[in-house]
Amino acid sequence: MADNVTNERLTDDAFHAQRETIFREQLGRAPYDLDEALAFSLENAKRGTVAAVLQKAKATGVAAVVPRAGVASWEGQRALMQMLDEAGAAYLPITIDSLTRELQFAEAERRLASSTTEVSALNGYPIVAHGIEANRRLIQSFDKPVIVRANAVDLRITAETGLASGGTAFVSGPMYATLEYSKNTPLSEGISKWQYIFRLMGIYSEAGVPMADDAVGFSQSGTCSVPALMHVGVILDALIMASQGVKHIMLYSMLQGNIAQDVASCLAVEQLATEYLHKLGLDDVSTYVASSDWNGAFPERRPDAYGLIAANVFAAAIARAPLNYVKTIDEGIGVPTAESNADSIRVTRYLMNLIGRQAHAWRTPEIEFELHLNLIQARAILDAIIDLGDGDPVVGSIKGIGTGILDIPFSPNIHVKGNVLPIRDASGAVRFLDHGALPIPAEALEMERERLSHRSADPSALGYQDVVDDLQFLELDTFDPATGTEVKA
Amino acid sequence: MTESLQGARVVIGSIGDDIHVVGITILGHALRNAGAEVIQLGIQTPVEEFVATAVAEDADAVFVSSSNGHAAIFCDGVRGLMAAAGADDVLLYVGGNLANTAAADWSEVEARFLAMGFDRAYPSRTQPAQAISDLVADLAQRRSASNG
Ligand code: B12
Repeated sequence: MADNVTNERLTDDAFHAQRETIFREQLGRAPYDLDEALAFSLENAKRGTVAAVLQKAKATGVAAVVPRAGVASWEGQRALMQMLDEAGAAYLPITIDSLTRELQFAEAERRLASSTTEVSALNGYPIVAHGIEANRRLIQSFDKPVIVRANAVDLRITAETGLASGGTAFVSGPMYATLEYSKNTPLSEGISKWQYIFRLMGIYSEAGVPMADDAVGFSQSGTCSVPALMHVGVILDALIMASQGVKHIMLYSMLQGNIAQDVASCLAVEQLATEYLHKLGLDDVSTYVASSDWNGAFPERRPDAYGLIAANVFAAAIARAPLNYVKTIDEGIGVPTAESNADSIRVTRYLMNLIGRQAHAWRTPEIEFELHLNLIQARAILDAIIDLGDGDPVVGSIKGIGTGILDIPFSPNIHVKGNVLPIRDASGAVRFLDHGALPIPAEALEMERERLSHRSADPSALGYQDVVDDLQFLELDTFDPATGTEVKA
Repeated sequence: MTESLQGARVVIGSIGDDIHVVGITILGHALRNAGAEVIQLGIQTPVEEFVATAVAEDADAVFVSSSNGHAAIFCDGVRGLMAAAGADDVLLYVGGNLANTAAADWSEVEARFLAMGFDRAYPSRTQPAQAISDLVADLAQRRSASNG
């Protein structure tokens, strides 16, 4: 099955045959009644959908602010979502635990049984163990629509369960799930499993429930990365989604602390999506830039974390991103407390509002520089991949992983060449230390080299140790209040 | 560099369903730079694979990493399986982010993992240099104990 995967839409026959198989193999039962699920979902969607929230945010310029959150018990999850609702989250998350994501449904159920409202033995909400009926009660107890959040190679049952339960958005796609989250899975296998989920979302959409999906791409690696390369993953995920019938796509843009580069990143990802969706004749798709707070090692001290969040929101607001996925001031410590979650939403809403009004004043030449650089890099890689697949981005990506024209830093996946390394320049913008076999144009390399020369007179002397040091770049305030001294130089 | 792990064989990986790769990547490089032979198992390593590799590679130490909040679920059986495989003398360290809430108290978390049979448990943000100097000391102590 996985050997000749293409970007073709799954046929109804292929979809339903696969549906029978996964339910039998993974849950030992017949598939959920799809007609019943569609009917329920259509009725439920009348109360609101994630797509409608995003459309409104884009039209009005008032950004949607959305957290991520999940705990094991039903009551605990209900309380958490209620608190996020009251803090001003635009739509509500149910983040799924990683045992469920790895198809260990029985073990997740066992750990659910040992969890209480106060103490969660799981890092998320085990949506399959709770069952559709309980999930529906949870989702319907809120006025706001719900996104079901998870990421892994095979989320077909989780997606089936989440959508049948009333979720109107889902997260991720094959680029992120396979290349950033799996050790052994070949890209072809990840793509074919995700195409099933996108087709499922397409079926809901065709029945009148506009499903939305986060295109994460290479934007959540946990390390800094060159924005154009992160976008390549986002665009590929988006093209594969749209080809299976997903009509509303959130385009991730991870914020890394350099304001000009971050603003440009938000602008570029939208422009690239429009261009490449059009190229594949997928013009009836709506996209929303999902600015996403820094996703690597976070400052441990809360005031420092506030500082980083503020810098991220500043960039998102200048770019007028319609959506921000917030990190919390507890990110560098552990799963956030309810209060930290609420405070982080509040500060984000506040700044989005304040800075958003002055956005035009901050569109500087530096942003234009970064935007141009971003676009020429991303287009060069995307064009090479699509050419390699004779116009098919799926075929091109699978081949591209083999040749290294598709390559990312710090991947845990053994099929990725891993020859690319990112490095910060003197102002914290992220450049290529090594671009491996990525087809980066000479003009872009020259622009980057010039910028890196401000960090080191001889950029070629920068090396792996500098890359490692950069991983902690945003934990940059080294003052230790306990001793009153600077910890390192 | 004064401390050396020359000749030491260390197995390292993220355990169970954990996909965090950055910490083990850095730690692996640091151990290698300190002279150790590093057997890197990568992400989502089953407990059984840690044990089998420790035996097959005649490891001196196993570095188990868990960041995703499921450490308590997967780390419990490691020492028992090592003993069953006749590798009870292998040093077992655990680190990453071992609690599953920001509200957890480190000394309680540490006590829980030591009780599971780990020789050392580390809080998040442990610098590789710390783990390396502990390993140098633990290996030296083992050597003098077996000589004396
Ligand atoms: C980057 C990141 C991610 C990336 C990871 C990308 C990748 N492939 O690695 C992404 C976005 C994919 C991710 C996903 C998840 N993450 Co995460 N992630 C982080 C983050 C921001 C940084 C981790 C990191 O790279 N640190 C930098 C490295 C260098 O540090 P380190 O890992 O701590 O390792 C150092 C030391 O600890 C030490 N060390 C590590 N292991 C060991 C072992 C031994 C023996 C020794 C001696 C030392 C040692 O060595 C390293 C050297 O400096 C942290 C929060 C933070 N710290 O800021 C959360 C965090 C670890 N993640 C968390 C969670 C919950 C998850 C998810 C489960 C979220 C979810 N529900 O969706 C998923 C994981 C799913 C799964 N199946 O595992 C939680 C863990 C909560 C807890 N334990 O209480 C954290 C703390 C965030 C939070 N505040 O909630 N994450």
